[in-house]
Amino acid sequence: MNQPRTYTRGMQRWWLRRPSYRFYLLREGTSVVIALYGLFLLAGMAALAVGPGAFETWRGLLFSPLSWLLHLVVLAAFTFHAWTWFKVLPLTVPPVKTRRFPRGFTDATLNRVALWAWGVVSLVILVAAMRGLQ
Amino acid sequence: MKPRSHEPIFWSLFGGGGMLAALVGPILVLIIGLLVPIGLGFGPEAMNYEQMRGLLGHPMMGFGLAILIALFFFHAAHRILHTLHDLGVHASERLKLICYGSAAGGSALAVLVALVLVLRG
Repeated sequence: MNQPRTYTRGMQRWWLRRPSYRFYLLREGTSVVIALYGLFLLAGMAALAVGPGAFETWRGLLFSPLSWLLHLVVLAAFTFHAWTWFKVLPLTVPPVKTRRFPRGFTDATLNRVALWAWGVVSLVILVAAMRGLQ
Repeated sequence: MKPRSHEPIFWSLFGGGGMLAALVGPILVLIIGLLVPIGLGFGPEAMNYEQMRGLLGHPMMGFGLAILIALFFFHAAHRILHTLHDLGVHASERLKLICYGSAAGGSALAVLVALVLVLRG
């Protein structure tokens, strides 16, 4: 017997079909920036281990105007990652843990707690850095 | 019996890296990449060689940074692998090896560099 030949829509350029698909790709795309930033930090660490000359080269790059502009983009990517990460947090926390949460603790509460934690951690690091690195 | 999957390990590394990148990533980028270079709230000698050697010579800071970098790599490897799949690049064993392998290599390098910095103090 012949299989019925039904129409199935192809997956060509699916990301153009809905804004939410492009949003998804943009969110996943932040991981490329995160990897590159990891490499940049690793280069700084390695330069530090090599010696003062190598580290000054890395630091010179960091202090260049182009680096400053690139870091604006990197900051935007990290912030977008953080915002979306805390947004989907209620979906990714294992149900075993969420069952132990008190009554009235909704997904929105979890999101709010995470955003507060983000703010507090950032502030603590900023203050510590401003005191320690002068 | 189904063979056991490696997925939970990579999922945990992805999750850990994503969480750290979200919690401390933006402030680190802001401090290191934007505030220190223009001296806003920081002196002109901030993050110089002596200072960074002292900071990363401490095991907590040296290995802490290495672990942060390693988790960034594994987070990105996982996301890139699965997004490439969505873009039509089949998540083959070879692609997995490339993604997770380079993350593992970068991580090993980061830990090695941290070890050198910590041992030299």
